[in-house]
Amino acid sequence: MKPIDKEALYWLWLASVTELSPIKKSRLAKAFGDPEAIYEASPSQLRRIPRFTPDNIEKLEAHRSLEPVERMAEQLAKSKVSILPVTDPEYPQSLLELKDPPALLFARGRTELLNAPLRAGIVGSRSCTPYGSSQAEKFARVFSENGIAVVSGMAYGIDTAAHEGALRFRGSTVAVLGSGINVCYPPENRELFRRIARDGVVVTEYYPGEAALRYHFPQRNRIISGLSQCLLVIEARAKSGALITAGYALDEGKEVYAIPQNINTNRGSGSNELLKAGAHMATEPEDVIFGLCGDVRVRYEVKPGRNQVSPVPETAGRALSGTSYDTEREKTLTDLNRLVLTKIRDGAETPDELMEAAGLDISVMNLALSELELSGFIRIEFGRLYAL
Amino acid sequence: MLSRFLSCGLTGLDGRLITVEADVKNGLPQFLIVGLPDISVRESKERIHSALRNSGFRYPANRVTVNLAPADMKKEGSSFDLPIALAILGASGQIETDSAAARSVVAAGELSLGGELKPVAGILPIALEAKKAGCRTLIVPAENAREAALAEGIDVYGLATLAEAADFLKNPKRFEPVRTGIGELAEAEGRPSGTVDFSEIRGQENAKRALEIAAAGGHNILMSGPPGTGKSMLAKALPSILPPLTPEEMLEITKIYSVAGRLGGRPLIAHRPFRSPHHTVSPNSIAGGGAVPKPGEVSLAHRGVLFLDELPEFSREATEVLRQPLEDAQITITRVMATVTYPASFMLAASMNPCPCGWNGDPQHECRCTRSQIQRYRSKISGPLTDRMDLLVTVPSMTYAELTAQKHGERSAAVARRVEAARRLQTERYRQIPGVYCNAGLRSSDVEKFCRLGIGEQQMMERMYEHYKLSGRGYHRILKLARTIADLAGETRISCAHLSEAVRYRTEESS
Repeated sequence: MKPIDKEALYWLWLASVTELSPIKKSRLAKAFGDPEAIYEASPSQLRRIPRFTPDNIEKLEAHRSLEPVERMAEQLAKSKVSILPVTDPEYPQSLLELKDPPALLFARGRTELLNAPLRAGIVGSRSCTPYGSSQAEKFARVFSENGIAVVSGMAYGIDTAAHEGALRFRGSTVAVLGSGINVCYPPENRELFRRIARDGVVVTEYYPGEAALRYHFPQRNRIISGLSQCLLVIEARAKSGALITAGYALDEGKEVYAIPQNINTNRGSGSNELLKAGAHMATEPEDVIFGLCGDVRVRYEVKPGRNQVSPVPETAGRALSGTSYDTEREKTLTDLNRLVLTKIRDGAETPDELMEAAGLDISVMNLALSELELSGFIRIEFGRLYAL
Repeated sequence: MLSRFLSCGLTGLDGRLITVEADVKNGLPQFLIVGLPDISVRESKERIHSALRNSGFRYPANRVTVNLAPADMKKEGSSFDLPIALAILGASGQIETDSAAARSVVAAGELSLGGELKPVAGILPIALEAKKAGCRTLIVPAENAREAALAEGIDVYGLATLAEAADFLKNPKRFEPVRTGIGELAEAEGRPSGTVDFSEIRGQENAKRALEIAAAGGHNILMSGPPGTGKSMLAKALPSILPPLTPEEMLEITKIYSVAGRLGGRPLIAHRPFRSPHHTVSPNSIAGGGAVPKPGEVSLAHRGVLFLDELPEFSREATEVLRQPLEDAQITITRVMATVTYPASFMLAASMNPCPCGWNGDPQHECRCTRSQIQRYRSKISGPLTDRMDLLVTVPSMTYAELTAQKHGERSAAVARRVEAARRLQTERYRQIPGVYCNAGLRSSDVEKFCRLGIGEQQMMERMYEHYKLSGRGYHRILKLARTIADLAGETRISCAHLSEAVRYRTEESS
């Protein structure tokens, strides 16, 4: 935490004009270069900025005082929030390539992660299935084990699972908020927020206290895509925010990966559309890792019954993440449980369908389902069976 | 001249013998009723006046005073019409009410202006009370006769008019008492109308199994699923898999329905009731209400099923009143005029959608509810009710193939037999413990005693406890459910299979 300098103070002042959209601020920054110049700018100068309305100018005028900003700077320093203006060397260099880079970022946690050598974004539906969240968690965990920082938006569903997965290993994860740095949205993720701020980094372009408004999120998504070198889309719905992020990533010429979805269901139709349009298909974390760095460094191992992951040294040959290990584990299953698992993988979605497919008595089936769920092969949610 | 006649008043389900005294004396024509009559009793003056004249009797043109003794008990209802009219007839010397035979006659019934006898509510408890008090004869409106005759040991005569009643007192031998038995009436009732047999429900084997377990252990059950998947139909089938009612239970239920005036012409309730109040129901109609409270939904569902469709839509006040009956199997209602206790031992079944729009978790439809909307929706049923829900089963939407499959499931009767066998095991096991009849009623201290686990089962329970993040209450619930599942299988020890089936129906849905 370095003491705030004069220039940063002016940047902070610009950020404090919450009535101006981040895009407009970014244009101001680009046009003037120096924030003090913006502070001092005359209305006639401001009028020359593209799409700058008289109303915008009025708002800037109304805020023309550094006093509240100084107080805010003190407060931020106390709560260990870093201020990263676009001119700061710690400012994520990848964002400079955006059309409208945020003029100022607020960050809490390990700010060095913003410039980590390898960064992958994971985005997807807020209301995901256990299938989606388990994939997000698995991919994020393997990314993290391979030294890739996981960038996401701390929303419900896929985002939360991705952060959790990354935190489980080394915690190199970046959460980009659509609200002020002191506002946790969704509020239920407060605990996750705290852990990311400790082990990873939370970052936002919104001024402290700004609420998570609907229209913030598409703008927030440009930062998620901007911070990521490649983007993985999981269970995105049609016309969803995840697709907006993917659109940004494609515009910026980044690789977009998607996990294929069951074409019979609505959810995840966005992911399949991406694949159809030419996105890379990802069925295992290595697909993304090879694309990103051409190498898998560590192989991971999950100890059954414990939520701990320990890296094991790379052995000869191509290391696989999930599949080979799971086949090993499946060998320990009883014949009955293996039959039930196979039927679920073959598409039995409800206990009733499973009974029909496996020809089992209901109490026998219930036993198998519980054992499979306890050992982590399946998950049952709202009466639907999901193979993990 | 003074004349007396016996009748019976009710407070809740309890009857009390009432002596109707009438005194006709010289004075200005006046009709006075004393002895805490309510408006409906006071109005009987006008009915009696017309009924007497239209039945060919003379209405005494003197001062008439009627006393309903004991005078400290509040009286309500129209059933005093007949005894008051008879007492007045006796007091004015038109009939003989002083004979030994007439003194042990109890009368109840409403009069029309033309002198016909109209049926009244609460005849069965009146008959039972009259029998208890040692009276030998009961005269009631013809339509109430078979209901009253359920109280065996008292001669019940069903009469059509006031004139006939007067006739009866003069010459009882000309009349035949009504004889009936519970068994006979129950048989006449036949299959309950409006209920569903298990075999009529296609698919949903998982939900049916959950209902079977719920019925076997007396557990309350919550069904969750998208609209139109048959949750209400499943609930309607629930009474059919409960063990058949015993004659005592039939009498109990009939008494409640009689007092509530809900018999609807039937003399006997022979089947387990199924009550499904709409979610706009008020707390008073759930609990029971009125100046002198009448039985509410919880009592009308006594020995049967109370089904709350769309549980989260019920007001908190309405669900709150379920607390006492679920705990004590009875409900005490205090209102302006009386405090009454009604039995209310029922199985609670409820249904809910997984989210406000109903499609959360469904693959074919998209759920558009936000996370917080869903949480708000589910939190509505938290508190007193979720504590009482022992089973949660998801009723998923079915595919066309499943819906049209020709395979027919098991009939209710077959399931009911298994349920009955399991219930018998429980009655036997809990004979020593007062107030416990089934697994659902076990207190936590008893759970430790009756739901012992072996080493292997304990290990499994521990894994489940951690994996599903169970609470202490959830742990006990699973033990009780496993006990019921073992009872259904006729096994004395709870095995891993029972535990793992029980955990499938746990109420704490991991998110």
